[in-house]
Amino acid sequence: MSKIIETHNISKVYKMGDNIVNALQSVSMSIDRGEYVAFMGPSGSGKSTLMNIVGCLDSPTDGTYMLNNQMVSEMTENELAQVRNKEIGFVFQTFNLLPRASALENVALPLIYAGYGKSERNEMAMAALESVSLADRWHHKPNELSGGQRQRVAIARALVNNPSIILADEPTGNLDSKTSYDIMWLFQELHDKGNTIIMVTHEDDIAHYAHRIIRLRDGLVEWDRKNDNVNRRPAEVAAAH
Amino acid sequence: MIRNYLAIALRNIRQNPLYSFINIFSLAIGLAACLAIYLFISDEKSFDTFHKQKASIYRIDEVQNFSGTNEQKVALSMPGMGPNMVLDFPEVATFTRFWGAKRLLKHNEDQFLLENVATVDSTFLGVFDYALLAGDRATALNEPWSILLTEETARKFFKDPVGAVGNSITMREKEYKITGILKDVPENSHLQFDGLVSMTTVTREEKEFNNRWGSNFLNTYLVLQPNTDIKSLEAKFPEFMIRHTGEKDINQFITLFLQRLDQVHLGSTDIEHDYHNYRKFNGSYLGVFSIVGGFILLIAGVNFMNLTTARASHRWKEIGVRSSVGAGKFQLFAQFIFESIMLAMLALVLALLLDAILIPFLNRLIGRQLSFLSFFAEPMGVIALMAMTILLGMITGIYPSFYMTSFKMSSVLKGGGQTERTSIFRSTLVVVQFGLAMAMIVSTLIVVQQLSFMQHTDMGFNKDQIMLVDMNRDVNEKFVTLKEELLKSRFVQGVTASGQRLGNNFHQWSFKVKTDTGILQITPSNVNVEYDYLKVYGIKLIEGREFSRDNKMDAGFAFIINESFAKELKLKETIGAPAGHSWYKDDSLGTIIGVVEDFHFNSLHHKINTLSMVVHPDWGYDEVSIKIDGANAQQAITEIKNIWSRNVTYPFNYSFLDEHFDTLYRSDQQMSSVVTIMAALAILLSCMGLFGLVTIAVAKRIKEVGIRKALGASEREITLLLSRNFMLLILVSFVVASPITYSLLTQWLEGFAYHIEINLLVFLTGGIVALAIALLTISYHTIKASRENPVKALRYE
Ligand SMILES: Nc1ncnc2c1ncn2[C@@H]1O[C@H](COP(=O)(O)OP(=O)(O)O)[C@@H](O)[C@H]1O
Ligand SMILES: [Mg+2]
Repeated sequence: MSKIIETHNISKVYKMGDNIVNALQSVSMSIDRGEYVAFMGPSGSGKSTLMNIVGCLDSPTDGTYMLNNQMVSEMTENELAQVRNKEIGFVFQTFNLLPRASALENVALPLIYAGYGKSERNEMAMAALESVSLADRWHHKPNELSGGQRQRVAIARALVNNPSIILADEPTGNLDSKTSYDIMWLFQELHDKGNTIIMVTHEDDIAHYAHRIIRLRDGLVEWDRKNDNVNRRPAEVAAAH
Repeated sequence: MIRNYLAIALRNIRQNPLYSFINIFSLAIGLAACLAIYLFISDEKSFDTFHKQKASIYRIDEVQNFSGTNEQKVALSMPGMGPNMVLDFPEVATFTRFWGAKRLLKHNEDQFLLENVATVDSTFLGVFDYALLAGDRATALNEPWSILLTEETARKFFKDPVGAVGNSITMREKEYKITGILKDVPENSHLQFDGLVSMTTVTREEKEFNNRWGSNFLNTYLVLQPNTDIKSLEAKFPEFMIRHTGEKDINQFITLFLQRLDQVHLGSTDIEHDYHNYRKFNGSYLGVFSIVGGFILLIAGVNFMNLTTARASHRWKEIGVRSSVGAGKFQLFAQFIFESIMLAMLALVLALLLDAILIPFLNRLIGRQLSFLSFFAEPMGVIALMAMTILLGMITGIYPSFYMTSFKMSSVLKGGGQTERTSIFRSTLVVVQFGLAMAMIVSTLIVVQQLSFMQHTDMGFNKDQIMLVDMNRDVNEKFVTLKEELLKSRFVQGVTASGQRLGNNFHQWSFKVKTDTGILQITPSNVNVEYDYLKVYGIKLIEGREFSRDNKMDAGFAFIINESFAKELKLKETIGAPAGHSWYKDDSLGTIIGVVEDFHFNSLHHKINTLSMVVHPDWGYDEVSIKIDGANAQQAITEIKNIWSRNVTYPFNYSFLDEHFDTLYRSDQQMSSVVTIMAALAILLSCMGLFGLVTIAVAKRIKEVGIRKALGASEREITLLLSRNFMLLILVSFVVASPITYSLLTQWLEGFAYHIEINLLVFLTGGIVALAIALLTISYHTIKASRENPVKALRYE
């Protein structure tokens, strides 16, 4: 399999006045296309920081990061915008939907920056909403949707442009457990279809939906191993369907 | 309670220095501008207010409508008008005439040329309240050959000016007795004089002076009985004129009208031959100034309202917490109003400071002595100022306070639940603000263009490097030698003389031209010139010949007319047509010997009138015109002065013609300065407000920016997104402001007989300038936001 992500000794230092926080110390790892990986670890261990760097939302203080065999630090701001638009789909804990835009408009947002025309955008966004079973709610505003529905809209948005990688930072953090399982089931489906997924979570249970777990502690990789015990679709969720 | 409010207000200022600065500073600039404008206006309005009877004093003016000449209003009247109106009309309580002239005064060895020694009626000091330092104001002007001097004039001749009463002084070879010393005439008096001579001096010599009709050469002021109906009094004038002049159709040519004293200074721009109207000003500009001042304050107020409401969300928590611990709506409201009054007060302090620094510069720019200390001269001024400021604070505070206290407390406390209302009100205010700023920018451009047009229009003659020197009879007599001597100097390029100065409408009187069909009566402007007038002034002859010394008949019997006059005559052959002044016998007329291209002998406010020039040395000239070598002006002046004093005894008193023309446009020039300054302030204030609004708007959208960036928006797309709404608002203001501005400017330009056409490009320029400045202002934030690390934005809650 081909390596899609490769980091080499990346570190991240935050300066807050006189305080220096070593959010990441020296992280080296690689992820292949089609993998389903969870970054796990306690709060403050550097998971989000790592994911943001992987997602080209932030840059490391030191070390190198190759995405699709391209050196990210050498990309221009415009190229980075393109990468974020075409290669990566983000799912956030707080959904990060635009409050005044409808579900459809939210999902279509990345397509605007990809340069699609309006009718094409709507068609693709509708298809994405369908894939998360929310086609009938396309015209609803975020505040008219439940938390789980909002996260599904966010997932549809992450998928709409057919990215190589889906990055999800605590996607279930703001959801109740039943809804969380729904989302995990969706991720499982996406992975089955061949998507690369990186998920950040501090919950052991959720992490076990992934096929590989990288455990961080104090900005360092504590361990990195295959998950032999992948959570499958929970029975009670299956029963409810 | 107040202490508590004060503490909260101070904390707010400290916590939000940027908004507090914009709020206070823009209000301060607004207030400072308004104060300066107020000072300017009250300075103008103070003219002639020191006369107790000011409301009953009227000046007699005329509308003259002679054939072959443009209709004009003039500030002239005939000697017979005043004395006979008092006799004929019970409404007229009293009158005084004012007949000013430049005079040479002598005492022992000293002689001084005085700008204006006016012959006035004995009632003058009863009508006008010019203060007297010595003498009896009731009787000082009774006797013939009485003279009153101002303190400044008296000091020139006497060590103790006040003690000069009783001395005598010589004027035109006559002895005058000094019967009083006047306090120097205040700056804000439209009549300015160095001395007053009793009218009885004239009436003693010329018995029929008080019944002289026909020519207009002095000013007459009437004091009317209280409650006089001006219109009905004016309606009686035509009959009065016929009765006294004995001319049945006099009213076709002359219509008398009354001008109230307060209008003389501010309402005389369209009045010509207005020689005794010191610093006369276009009163309608005062209206423009007040409006502009109001605009500036409005723009500043808008900043305040917009920034306060735009930031309301930052205070919802505070509002929520306060009301949850029992603060009533009214208390909250009072707190916000209190805050805005406090900011306004701080702004006032800053405004006074700004004015203290800036008014001296303004004074230099517009040539005045405004002082903001005059506010503190009387307690009422201070109180009014404070009251105004408090009112301003309240007015600007009301809307934001309503806005902030009108939220549902429950939703406020819940936090993010409150969706921000897009404020149509706020957008409207921004549109108003930028509309005003743009209107002022465009107006500045047009006004400056018109002024430069006036300065650079080819007047049809050469007005630069012309030195004008006063003449009297003695200088006239020695003129030929003087001229010869002057021409020997290498600094002198030409010498001539004339009876009236360019830049006024020359005196009109009746003129006749013999045609095939008979005698044509016409009333052009007339000027008595010296032989070389056309040459020295570079006036172009288009037909016939110039005046010539070699031709005996050219003295008094040769006329050179302008094109307008020639057109009016419609003769097949203008040159050679017999012509003369009205009193010439029909069988001993002179000849029209030449036609010159029209030139602007009057200011560009007025159309070129028909004109006849004659060489008439016997009448005497008023001023020598000397064309000097401009590169060596200082040496030229020194040398001319030397030549002058070697040849004549009359004092050397000179000025320059181009400076005289500058004074003709003084009102316009000052208006232009004020509008330019105000336009700059308007755009500065608007941009400060915009900057504040954008700061808030961008801060509110920072999360959205993060989301969009995460989804692949480029920096350019983000900048565009954040700027779009503001740009749209500014475009709307452009569209709204343009037609209004256009029509106002068109109206203004119509006040000039010669004016530029408004170029629509100027409007576009104004719009683009405003847009560019606005773009620059907001780009600081929009570009910064677009460069921001999206992670930061996404973390922002
Ligand atoms: N923008 C920032 N400024 C300063 N410190 C930060 C910033 N982001 C993260 N940190 C700090 O870096 C460390 C790692 O944070 P993060 O990656 O968010 O951890 P996790 O997602 O695992 O909870 C924490 O100590 C956090 O406080
Ligand atoms: Mg995290």
